[in-house]
Amino acid sequence: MRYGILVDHTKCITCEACTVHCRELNEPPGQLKYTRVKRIAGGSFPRVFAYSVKSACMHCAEATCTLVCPSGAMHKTPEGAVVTNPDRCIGCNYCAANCPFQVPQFLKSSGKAYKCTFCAPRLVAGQVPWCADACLTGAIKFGKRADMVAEGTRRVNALKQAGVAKAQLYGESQLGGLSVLTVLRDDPAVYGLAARPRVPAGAVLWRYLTKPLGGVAVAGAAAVVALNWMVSRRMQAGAAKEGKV
Amino acid sequence: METRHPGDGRVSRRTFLKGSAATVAGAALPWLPVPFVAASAADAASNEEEIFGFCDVCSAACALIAHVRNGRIVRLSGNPDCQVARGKLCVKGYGGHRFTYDPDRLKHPMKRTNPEKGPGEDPGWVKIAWDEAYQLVAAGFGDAIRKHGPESIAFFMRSHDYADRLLRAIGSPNRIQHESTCYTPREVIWRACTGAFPWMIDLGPAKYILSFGWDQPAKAKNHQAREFIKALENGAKAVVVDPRYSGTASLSHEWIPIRPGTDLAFCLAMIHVIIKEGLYDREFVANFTEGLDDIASAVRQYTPAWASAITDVPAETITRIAREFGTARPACIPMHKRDASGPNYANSWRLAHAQLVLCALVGSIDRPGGPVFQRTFSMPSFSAVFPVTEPFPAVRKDRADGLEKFPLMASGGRGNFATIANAMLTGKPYPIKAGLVRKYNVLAFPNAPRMTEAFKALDFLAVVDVLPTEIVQLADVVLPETTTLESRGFGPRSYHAHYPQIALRLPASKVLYETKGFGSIVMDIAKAMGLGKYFEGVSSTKWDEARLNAIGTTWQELAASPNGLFGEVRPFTPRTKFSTPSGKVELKSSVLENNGYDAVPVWKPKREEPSTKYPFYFLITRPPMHRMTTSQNDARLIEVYPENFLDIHPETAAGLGLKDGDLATVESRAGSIKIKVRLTQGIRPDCVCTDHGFGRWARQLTVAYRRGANDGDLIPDMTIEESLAIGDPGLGACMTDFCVSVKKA
Amino acid sequence: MSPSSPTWKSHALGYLSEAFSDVIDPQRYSAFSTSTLAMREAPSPVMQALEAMAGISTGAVDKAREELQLEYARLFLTPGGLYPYESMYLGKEGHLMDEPYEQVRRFYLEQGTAVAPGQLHPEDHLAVELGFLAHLWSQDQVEAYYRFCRQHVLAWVPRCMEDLKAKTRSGWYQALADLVLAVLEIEAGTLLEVS
Repeated sequence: MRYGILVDHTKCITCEACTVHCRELNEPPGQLKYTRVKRIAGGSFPRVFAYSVKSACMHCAEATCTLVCPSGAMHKTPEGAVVTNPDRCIGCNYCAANCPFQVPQFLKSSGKAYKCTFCAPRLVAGQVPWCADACLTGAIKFGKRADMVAEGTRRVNALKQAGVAKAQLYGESQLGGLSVLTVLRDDPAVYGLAARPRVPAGAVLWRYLTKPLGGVAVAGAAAVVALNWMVSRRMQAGAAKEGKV
Repeated sequence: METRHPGDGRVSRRTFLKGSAATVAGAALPWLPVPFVAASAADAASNEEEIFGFCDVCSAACALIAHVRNGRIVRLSGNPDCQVARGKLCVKGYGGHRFTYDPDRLKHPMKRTNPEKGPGEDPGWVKIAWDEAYQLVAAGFGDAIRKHGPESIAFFMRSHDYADRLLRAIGSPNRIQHESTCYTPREVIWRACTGAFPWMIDLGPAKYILSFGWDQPAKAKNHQAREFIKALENGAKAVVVDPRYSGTASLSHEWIPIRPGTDLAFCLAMIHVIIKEGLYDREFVANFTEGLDDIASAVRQYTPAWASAITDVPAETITRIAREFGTARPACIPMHKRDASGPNYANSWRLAHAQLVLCALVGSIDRPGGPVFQRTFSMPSFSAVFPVTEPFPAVRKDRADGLEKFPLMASGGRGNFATIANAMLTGKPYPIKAGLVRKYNVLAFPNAPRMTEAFKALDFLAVVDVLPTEIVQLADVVLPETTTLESRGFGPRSYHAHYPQIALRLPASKVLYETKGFGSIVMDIAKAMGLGKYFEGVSSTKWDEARLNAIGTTWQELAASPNGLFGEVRPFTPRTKFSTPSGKVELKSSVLENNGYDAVPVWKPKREEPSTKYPFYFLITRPPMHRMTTSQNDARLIEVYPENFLDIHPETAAGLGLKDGDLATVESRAGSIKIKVRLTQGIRPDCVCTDHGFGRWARQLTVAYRRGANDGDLIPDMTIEESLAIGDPGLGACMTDFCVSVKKA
Repeated sequence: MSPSSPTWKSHALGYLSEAFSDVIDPQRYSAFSTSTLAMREAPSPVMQALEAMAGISTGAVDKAREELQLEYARLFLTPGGLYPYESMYLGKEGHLMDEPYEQVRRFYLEQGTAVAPGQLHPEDHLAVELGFLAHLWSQDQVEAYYRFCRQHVLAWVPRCMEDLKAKTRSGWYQALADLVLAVLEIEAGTLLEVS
């Protein structure tokens, strides 16, 4: 069953209990944090706004990272998580370079990329991800993805009724549907999100090219690093032209 | 077989001697390694446990569950059945175990060897035994009593039954508490007008939430944040009146950037509109209040146009807000601690009175959606359970902080943080020579550097604390306390009590190092001073039992409770009679009048306004992930909020030649700090703002040390005469009623 | 290898556990550093360390006691000092009672033992782990002894001792650290040989 997280920025008090809880209980390596709350502020005095944006992996259905990873270190789980396997990661950083949400983080000391796991082992055990477990206002909710879509839609309708004209649910359809759904008060661009993020065309080609190598984790993949690099660069350049980066 | 270490009271069981290796020519091994014994069944069985407790980060005391694995607390979670916690804790509460496990924690009693005190001085600690520590405290206090009398001893701490008794046994009136920097101006008004203080703000059912500087959601106050968000989700409108765009403002429908310290004018004009237009709750006002006519004539002159000139808020906005507030039911003015009617300005108590009148006009006092008096169990007092067999010595003098001169505050005995430094440094009205501090930080006092000098000037200072904070660095003797996660007891909580519900606390961790509970520290000091007779028969188990028996339960029953709580869920019954002379909410207060204060709210300006020398208003706030001065040594919290900044409007900054991140010197008439600026559009251009809790100079706080600056270095302290001249019955410390200059450093 | 012959190990570990559990007593320090009879079978690096210890003049006992009190406080009670806990060296959180604490405590329990009640230090403190080694050795639990060395003591105590040497201003602690390192080097060598 596919699970979902509903992030409702209209309820976030920016306390970062989610950040700290995740950091302490998932223990990402080094100083990494799998999730952060960013503050996005705008306007000018006295007409100002500030939104809190929980920023972590969206767990896309069409996950670019899983397509571009040359070593098979990234895969999707039936619960809707996109997870990395550090043992297979060769540190090429293509996942980070091509992620529509700039999520994976590269750690120099280990030479590998890391990201939010949706607390995948907890999902399997029927437990709530730590970020949602910590949240005291209900700004992060967890449940079946379908329920989260319904709840998010209800919230968006309520906001619209209250006069928030641009209220919308982000993630319902983007990239085949994200596991992380987000209630926005404004255009996605205000939150630093692409309205219609796309899997870069090159990534599909990429998948085709590297598929035979997918299982040959370290030695095989390392042999094609130069080629990878070129294709990846081309994909990024393409994305930049489309205004996606 | 047992051996005794020469000169060491400890007895060690030498079980390892039974082994074959331990014989050298038939002799016992003459060394004393840390001894091991056969594991008990309890040790072996206790792999995973859930232990009930309650949080002590703030006084709300959310009930919690400690998840213990192999003898250590792995995490904390909120107790789902607790009406305060509702299954969650705040970001600080979740970190309670990190406080207990802080490597910098005070582990042993210590004494200083370097007589020089102050920031930058290494105290030269040496570890001592508890007995020696008590002897030193008894000697230090004894000296002070002999040379200067018992009143020369002052305790700096929250009220604590054991310590209060010790102070009375010594014969000193001087227990100095912090509330004059926290909420007393509002408290004194509510007690005068309603006979009680509404700790609880029942935000959930509110339809209109109008706040004045209140920012508890963005302080992550668990129940207030949750209920505020719940109200918003249920369609409440939220309006924030605040010179800065607070976290709460960013979640609200409207932000009104009022001129600091003028909220009183705004509220008076609202009362004017609501009465004039007859928008008030006639039934509530008629049945449960007195003095509407007095209020009506008092506010006749306070039109929105009048208020507009003072507040910088358009008259039509004030009128509109008054109408919205007057017609939405339930309408709520949430209040907590250091908001606009906290002890921030000379007129904050008047604002508190005006807010109370507004709450009464919309009929929200002790009604769902309004400020609510807590429902708690009544329990016997310490002296009822443990009566003294010998009378306390007579107290020879009035208090050093002049508390008796404030008739409405004197009975609480809580003292004044703002005037004590002056008393200590001038020796007037009489010298203070010795002190006992528990978990107060010198940085939290107005004019912290002057208070540091005052503590330095003492002949003897003992400090009870958990971490080696700044005040600890000034101590002659340090007494390390256990944390709440290492202790047992129960909590009658009052901040969010729809019905009486107490929470159980069992030790989630064994007591680490050589730390002790405060009650036992106090009793041992008493014994060392020859005052043990005042504590005959006193024990915490008896004390708990007596109070629990009084509410119809026992320790055994509470300890066996399946959810760690006691108290039946009960429906809310609104109060119809109030503990005032008239039995009603006295809009015009007879108590205030009889004590020589204005009986109705009238306009008076704040104490200080910007000048050429100090052109900016100064505001203080707190980030959600830090709690006062207690959390900055937690590496996990520092990671997400590493230091404080001076928030300033970009145009103001440009005028001063400051860019984002530049170091600025902020100066007030009390002192100056250096702090990095952070540009924001969310603040009035005539204001600057910073967070409390930073600017730590104790090197022993290895994480907190040297981050940001301390707001308290700028806050002026005062003499008793200055405090009286302000005329605040709640002796508010005027924490932000001063102005500052800002320069590039 | 039989634990009954190298009794020097019980002596060395027993004293080291004592020495790190509280302020060093100068008389006890002297007594140990001159206990050459008991230590006579120790390998030469250990004997050298012991000689170095004996070479440190304690002078007047009262004065030494005072100095040791200050040095103890400087090392273990003040900033920039030492946190002699396995959690602080091998844990991820940077606070005490981290995961290594659990593993150490579980190790003790699996050997049917626990730290006697009323001790000042948590289970993963230097003095406690050394005390546990002394305990295992005296109980003939050779396999557990070396397993504990490998899984715990050798994983952090050498680093801790290097930190101690870098931070202490006193010859006493220098010499103690050298003795710990000498003993652990022998155990590391034994483990290498076995593997």
